[in-house]
Amino acid sequence: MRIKLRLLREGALREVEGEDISEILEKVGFNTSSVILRRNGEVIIEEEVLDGDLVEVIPVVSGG
Amino acid sequence: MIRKGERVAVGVSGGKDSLALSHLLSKLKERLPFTFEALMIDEGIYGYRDHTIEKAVKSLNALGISYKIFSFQKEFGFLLDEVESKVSKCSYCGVLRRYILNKKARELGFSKLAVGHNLDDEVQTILMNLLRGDFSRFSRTGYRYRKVHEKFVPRIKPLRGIPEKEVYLYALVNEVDFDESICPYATEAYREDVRNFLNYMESKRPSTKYTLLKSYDELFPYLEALTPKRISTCAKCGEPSISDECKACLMLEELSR
Repeated sequence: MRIKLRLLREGALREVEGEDISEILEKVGFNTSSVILRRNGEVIIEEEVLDGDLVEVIPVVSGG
Repeated sequence: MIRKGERVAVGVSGGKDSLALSHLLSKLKERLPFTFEALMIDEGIYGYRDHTIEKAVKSLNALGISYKIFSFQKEFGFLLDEVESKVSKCSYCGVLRRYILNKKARELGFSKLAVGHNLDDEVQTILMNLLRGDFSRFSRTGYRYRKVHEKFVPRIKPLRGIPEKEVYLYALVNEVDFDESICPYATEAYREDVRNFLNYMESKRPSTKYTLLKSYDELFPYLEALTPKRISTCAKCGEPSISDECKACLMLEELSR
Protein backbone atom coordinates (compact mmCIF):
# COMPACT_ATOMS: atom_id res chain seq x y z
CA MET A 1 0.00 0.00 0.00
CA ARG A 2 1.11 3.55 -0.68
CA ILE A 3 -0.21 6.48 1.32
CA LYS A 4 0.57 10.13 1.90
CA LEU A 5 1.40 11.08 5.45
CA ARG A 6 1.15 14.55 6.85
CA LEU A 7 3.50 14.55 9.84
CA LEU A 8 1.99 17.19 12.11
CA ARG A 9 4.89 17.83 14.46
CA GLU A 10 7.44 18.13 11.64
CA GLY A 11 4.96 19.90 9.35
CA ALA A 12 6.10 17.59 6.52
CA LEU A 13 4.22 15.70 3.80
CA ARG A 14 5.69 12.31 2.85
CA GLU A 15 4.56 9.61 0.46
CA VAL A 16 5.44 6.22 1.92
CA GLU A 17 4.98 2.66 0.72
CA GLY A 18 4.76 -0.48 2.85
CA GLU A 19 3.05 -3.82 3.45
CA ASP A 20 0.60 -2.27 5.91
CA ILE A 21 0.11 0.83 8.06
CA SER A 22 2.37 -0.53 10.84
CA GLU A 23 5.27 -0.86 8.43
CA ILE A 24 4.56 2.55 6.90
CA LEU A 25 4.54 4.21 10.35
CA GLU A 26 7.78 2.46 11.29
CA LYS A 27 9.41 3.89 8.18
CA VAL A 28 8.77 7.42 9.49
CA GLY A 29 9.88 6.60 13.03
CA PHE A 30 6.49 5.91 14.66
CA ASN A 31 4.31 2.93 15.48
CA THR A 32 0.64 2.32 16.15
CA SER A 33 1.04 3.03 19.90
CA SER A 34 2.66 6.41 19.49
CA VAL A 35 0.32 8.19 17.08
CA ILE A 36 -3.28 8.99 16.28
CA LEU A 37 -4.35 8.97 12.62
CA ARG A 38 -6.77 11.42 11.08
CA ARG A 39 -8.32 11.46 7.60
CA ASN A 40 -10.36 14.44 6.39
CA GLY A 41 -10.35 15.79 9.94
CA GLU A 42 -11.76 12.58 11.41
CA VAL A 43 -9.89 10.24 13.75
CA ILE A 44 -9.57 6.75 12.24
CA ILE A 45 -8.16 3.45 13.45
CA GLU A 46 -5.20 1.84 11.71
CA GLU A 47 -7.35 -0.78 9.96
CA GLU A 48 -9.37 1.95 8.23
CA VAL A 49 -6.43 3.33 6.27
CA LEU A 50 -6.86 2.69 2.52
CA ASP A 51 -4.39 2.62 -0.32
CA GLY A 52 -3.87 6.13 -1.67
CA ASP A 53 -5.17 7.89 1.46
CA LEU A 54 -3.85 11.18 2.77
CA VAL A 55 -3.47 10.60 6.52
CA GLU A 56 -2.49 13.06 9.26
CA VAL A 57 -0.10 11.59 11.83
CA ILE A 58 -0.42 13.09 15.31
CA PRO A 59 2.23 12.02 17.87
CA VAL A 60 0.68 11.46 21.30
CA VAL A 61 3.82 11.73 23.41
CA SER A 62 3.71 14.69 25.77
CA GLY A 63 6.44 17.21 26.20
CA GLY A 64 7.51 16.83 29.83
CA MET B 1 -9.60 6.23 45.17
CA ILE B 2 -11.66 9.30 46.13
CA ARG B 3 -13.88 9.15 49.20
CA LYS B 4 -17.22 10.82 49.75
CA GLY B 5 -16.81 14.50 50.57
CA GLU B 6 -13.10 14.48 49.95
CA ARG B 7 -11.20 17.59 48.73
CA VAL B 8 -8.79 16.68 45.96
CA ALA B 9 -5.97 18.78 44.50
CA VAL B 10 -5.02 18.10 40.88
CA GLY B 11 -1.52 18.84 39.65
CA VAL B 12 -1.98 20.58 36.31
CA SER B 13 0.74 21.34 33.77
CA GLY B 14 -1.33 22.34 30.76
CA GLY B 15 -0.50 19.16 28.83
CA LYS B 16 -3.04 16.60 27.66
CA ASP B 17 -2.81 14.26 30.67
CA SER B 18 -3.50 16.76 33.43
CA LEU B 19 -6.18 18.59 31.45
CA ALA B 20 -7.90 15.34 30.38
CA LEU B 21 -7.84 14.35 34.07
CA SER B 22 -9.34 17.71 35.07
CA HIS B 23 -12.07 17.26 32.47
CA LEU B 24 -12.76 13.71 33.65
CA LEU B 25 -12.96 14.79 37.31
CA SER B 26 -15.28 17.68 36.47
CA LYS B 27 -17.64 15.16 34.80
CA LEU B 28 -17.34 12.75 37.75
CA LYS B 29 -18.08 15.56 40.18
CA GLU B 30 -21.52 15.96 38.63
CA ARG B 31 -22.38 12.50 39.95
CA LEU B 32 -20.16 12.01 42.99
CA PRO B 33 -19.86 14.09 46.17
CA PHE B 34 -16.30 15.44 46.15
CA THR B 35 -14.59 18.70 45.28
CA PHE B 36 -11.35 19.46 43.52
CA GLU B 37 -9.13 22.33 42.52
CA ALA B 38 -6.14 22.59 40.18
CA LEU B 39 -2.65 23.43 41.43
CA MET B 40 -0.07 24.65 38.95
CA ILE B 41 3.64 25.23 39.34
CA ASP B 42 5.51 27.90 37.42
CA GLU B 43 9.14 26.75 37.51
CA GLY B 44 10.34 29.75 35.52
CA ILE B 45 10.98 28.30 32.07
CA TYR B 46 10.72 31.21 29.67
CA GLY B 47 8.95 30.51 26.40
CA TYR B 48 7.51 27.24 27.69
CA ARG B 49 5.81 27.29 31.06
CA ASP B 50 4.32 30.74 30.46
CA HIS B 51 2.54 29.32 27.38
CA THR B 52 1.43 26.05 29.02
CA ILE B 53 0.02 27.93 32.03
CA GLU B 54 -1.84 30.31 29.74
CA LYS B 55 -3.37 27.31 27.92
CA ALA B 56 -4.21 25.58 31.19
CA VAL B 57 -5.89 28.68 32.64
CA LYS B 58 -8.06 28.98 29.51
CA SER B 59 -9.09 25.31 29.64
CA LEU B 60 -9.73 25.31 33.40
CA ASN B 61 -11.84 28.48 33.10
CA ALA B 62 -13.86 26.84 30.31
CA LEU B 63 -14.47 23.85 32.59
CA GLY B 64 -15.30 26.06 35.58
CA ILE B 65 -12.43 24.62 37.63
CA SER B 66 -10.73 26.92 40.11
CA TYR B 67 -6.94 26.92 40.32
CA LYS B 68 -3.93 28.28 42.13
CA ILE B 69 -0.49 28.96 40.67
CA PHE B 70 2.71 28.69 42.74
CA SER B 71 6.11 29.69 41.45
CA PHE B 72 9.73 28.73 42.12
CA GLN B 73 10.41 32.48 42.13
CA LYS B 74 8.06 33.13 45.02
CA GLU B 75 8.73 29.91 46.97
CA PHE B 76 12.51 29.65 46.46
CA GLY B 77 13.57 33.02 45.03
CA PHE B 78 14.84 31.83 41.64
CA LEU B 79 13.69 30.70 38.20
CA LEU B 80 14.63 27.28 36.82
CA ASP B 81 16.14 29.17 33.87
CA GLU B 82 18.67 30.70 36.30
CA VAL B 83 19.82 27.38 37.79
CA GLU B 84 23.43 26.61 36.91
CA SER B 85 24.30 23.02 37.55
CA LYS B 86 26.34 20.13 36.24
CA VAL B 87 23.41 17.72 36.44
CA SER B 88 20.21 18.04 34.42
CA LYS B 89 17.75 20.74 35.46
CA CYS B 90 15.07 18.02 35.37
CA SER B 91 16.28 16.52 38.64
CA TYR B 92 15.88 19.86 40.46
CA CYS B 93 12.61 20.57 38.75
CA GLY B 94 11.07 17.18 39.66
CA VAL B 95 12.05 17.29 43.33
CA LEU B 96 11.17 20.96 43.90
CA ARG B 97 7.87 20.73 42.02
CA ARG B 98 6.74 17.70 44.05
CA TYR B 99 7.86 19.50 47.22
CA ILE B 100 5.65 22.54 46.51
CA LEU B 101 2.71 20.42 45.35
CA ASN B 102 2.70 18.32 48.52
CA LYS B 103 3.21 21.31 50.82
CA LYS B 104 0.56 23.50 49.21
CA ALA B 105 -1.96 20.67 48.84
CA ARG B 106 -1.62 20.01 52.58
CA GLU B 107 -1.70 23.68 53.64
CA LEU B 108 -4.83 24.22 51.56
CA GLY B 109 -6.53 21.29 53.27
CA PHE B 110 -6.63 18.77 50.41
CA SER B 111 -6.57 15.12 51.42
CA LYS B 112 -5.42 13.68 48.06
CA LEU B 113 -3.22 14.90 45.24
CA ALA B 114 -4.28 13.62 41.82
CA VAL B 115 -1.65 13.45 39.08
CA GLY B 116 -2.10 12.72 35.38
CA HIS B 117 0.30 9.79 34.92
CA ASN B 118 -0.99 7.45 32.22
CA LEU B 119 -0.30 3.76 31.52
CA ASP B 120 2.70 4.56 29.33
CA ASP B 121 4.28 6.79 32.02
CA GLU B 122 3.78 4.11 34.65
CA VAL B 123 5.20 1.14 32.73
CA GLN B 124 8.12 3.24 31.48
CA THR B 125 8.95 4.19 35.08
CA ILE B 126 8.58 0.61 36.31
CA LEU B 127 10.85 -0.77 33.61
CA MET B 128 13.41 2.05 33.93
CA ASN B 129 13.77 1.50 37.67
CA LEU B 130 14.00 -2.26 37.21
CA LEU B 131 16.66 -1.92 34.50
CA ARG B 132 18.62 0.55 36.65
CA GLY B 133 18.37 -1.69 39.70
CA ASP B 134 16.83 1.14 41.70
CA PHE B 135 14.82 -0.90 44.19
CA SER B 136 13.79 2.07 46.30
CA ARG B 137 12.14 3.85 43.38
CA PHE B 138 10.94 0.56 41.88
CA SER B 139 8.87 -0.04 44.99
CA ARG B 140 7.15 3.36 44.74
CA THR B 141 5.15 3.17 41.49
CA GLY B 142 2.14 1.43 42.98
CA TYR B 143 -1.59 1.94 42.72
CA ARG B 144 -1.76 3.39 46.22
CA TYR B 145 0.31 5.58 48.48
CA ARG B 146 0.37 5.02 52.21
CA LYS B 147 0.25 8.03 54.48
CA VAL B 148 3.85 7.56 55.54
CA HIS B 149 3.97 10.94 57.30
CA GLU B 150 1.29 13.21 58.73
CA LYS B 151 2.42 15.94 56.34
CA PHE B 152 2.37 13.70 53.28
CA VAL B 153 -0.64 14.08 50.97
CA PRO B 154 -1.21 10.68 49.33
CA ARG B 155 -1.17 10.79 45.55
CA ILE B 156 -3.74 9.18 43.30
CA LYS B 157 -3.26 8.37 39.64
CA PRO B 158 -6.70 7.93 38.05
CA LEU B 159 -5.28 7.57 34.50
CA ARG B 160 -2.73 4.96 35.50
CA GLY B 161 -4.42 2.20 33.49
CA ILE B 162 -5.20 4.31 30.41
CA PRO B 163 -2.77 4.24 27.46
CA GLU B 164 -1.31 7.60 26.47
CA LYS B 165 -2.94 7.30 23.06
CA GLU B 166 -6.39 6.97 24.64
CA VAL B 167 -5.81 9.94 26.96
CA TYR B 168 -4.91 12.00 23.89
CA LEU B 169 -8.05 10.75 22.12
CA TYR B 170 -10.19 11.59 25.17
CA ALA B 171 -8.83 15.16 25.12
CA LEU B 172 -9.36 15.43 21.37
CA VAL B 173 -12.91 14.05 21.39
CA ASN B 174 -13.92 16.26 24.34
CA GLU B 175 -12.31 19.33 22.76
CA VAL B 176 -9.99 19.89 25.69
CA ASP B 177 -7.54 22.57 24.60
CA PHE B 178 -4.08 21.49 25.77
CA ASP B 179 -0.51 22.51 25.11
CA GLU B 180 1.72 20.26 23.03
CA SER B 181 5.01 22.07 23.31
CA ILE B 182 8.08 20.28 24.60
CA CYS B 183 10.05 21.52 27.59
CA PRO B 184 13.37 22.99 26.37
CA TYR B 185 15.19 21.15 29.16
CA ALA B 186 13.67 17.71 28.47
CA THR B 187 16.61 15.32 28.33
CA GLU B 188 15.06 12.00 29.09
CA ALA B 189 17.18 9.85 26.78
CA TYR B 190 16.74 6.74 28.95
CA ARG B 191 12.95 7.11 29.09
CA GLU B 192 12.91 7.64 25.33
CA ASP B 193 14.69 4.29 24.77
CA VAL B 194 12.32 2.49 27.14
CA ARG B 195 9.30 4.19 25.55
CA ASN B 196 10.41 3.08 22.07
CA PHE B 197 10.99 -0.47 23.28
CA LEU B 198 7.57 -0.69 24.95
CA ASN B 199 5.80 0.81 21.94
CA TYR B 200 7.60 -1.65 19.67
CA MET B 201 6.56 -4.57 21.93
CA GLU B 202 3.00 -3.27 22.12
CA SER B 203 2.72 -3.08 18.32
CA LYS B 204 4.07 -6.64 17.99
CA ARG B 205 2.36 -8.06 21.08
CA PRO B 206 -0.74 -6.02 21.90
CA SER B 207 -1.48 -5.67 25.65
CA THR B 208 2.20 -5.78 26.62
CA LYS B 209 1.82 -2.56 28.63
CA TYR B 210 -1.28 -3.73 30.51
CA THR B 211 0.38 -7.05 31.30
CA LEU B 212 3.48 -5.33 32.64
CA LEU B 213 1.39 -3.05 34.87
CA LYS B 214 -0.69 -6.00 36.08
CA SER B 215 2.44 -8.01 36.91
CA TYR B 216 3.82 -5.04 38.83
CA ASP B 217 0.55 -4.55 40.72
CA GLU B 218 0.56 -8.20 41.78
CA LEU B 219 4.09 -7.76 43.03
CA PHE B 220 3.35 -4.41 44.68
CA PRO B 221 2.02 -5.62 48.09
CA TYR B 222 5.28 -7.55 48.59
CA LEU B 223 7.35 -4.51 47.61
CA GLU B 224 5.26 -2.26 49.85
CA ALA B 225 5.85 -4.60 52.81
CA LEU B 226 9.59 -4.02 52.44
CA THR B 227 9.37 -0.22 52.40
CA PRO B 228 9.23 1.88 55.60
CA LYS B 229 5.77 2.47 57.06
CA ARG B 230 6.87 5.81 58.46
CA ILE B 231 9.38 8.28 57.12
CA SER B 232 11.16 10.99 59.07
CA THR B 233 10.85 14.76 59.17
CA CYS B 234 13.34 17.12 57.56
CA ALA B 235 15.27 18.86 60.37
CA LYS B 236 15.43 22.02 58.30
CA CYS B 237 11.97 22.59 56.85
CA GLY B 238 9.78 20.12 58.75
CA GLU B 239 8.48 18.46 55.58
CA PRO B 240 8.41 14.66 55.13
CA SER B 241 11.80 13.17 54.31
CA ILE B 242 13.47 9.79 53.92
CA SER B 243 16.65 11.06 55.62
CA ASP B 244 17.41 13.74 58.23
CA GLU B 245 17.33 16.48 55.64
CA CYS B 246 14.99 16.39 52.65
CA LYS B 247 16.12 16.35 49.06
CA ALA B 248 14.56 19.77 48.37
CA CYS B 249 16.53 21.44 51.22
CA LEU B 250 19.76 19.73 50.12
CA MET B 251 19.22 20.98 46.57
CA LEU B 252 18.36 24.51 47.70
CA GLU B 253 21.55 24.61 49.83
CA GLU B 254 23.63 23.40 46.90
CA LEU B 255 22.11 26.04 44.62
CA SER B 256 22.72 28.86 47.08
CA ARG B 257 26.46 28.09 47.20
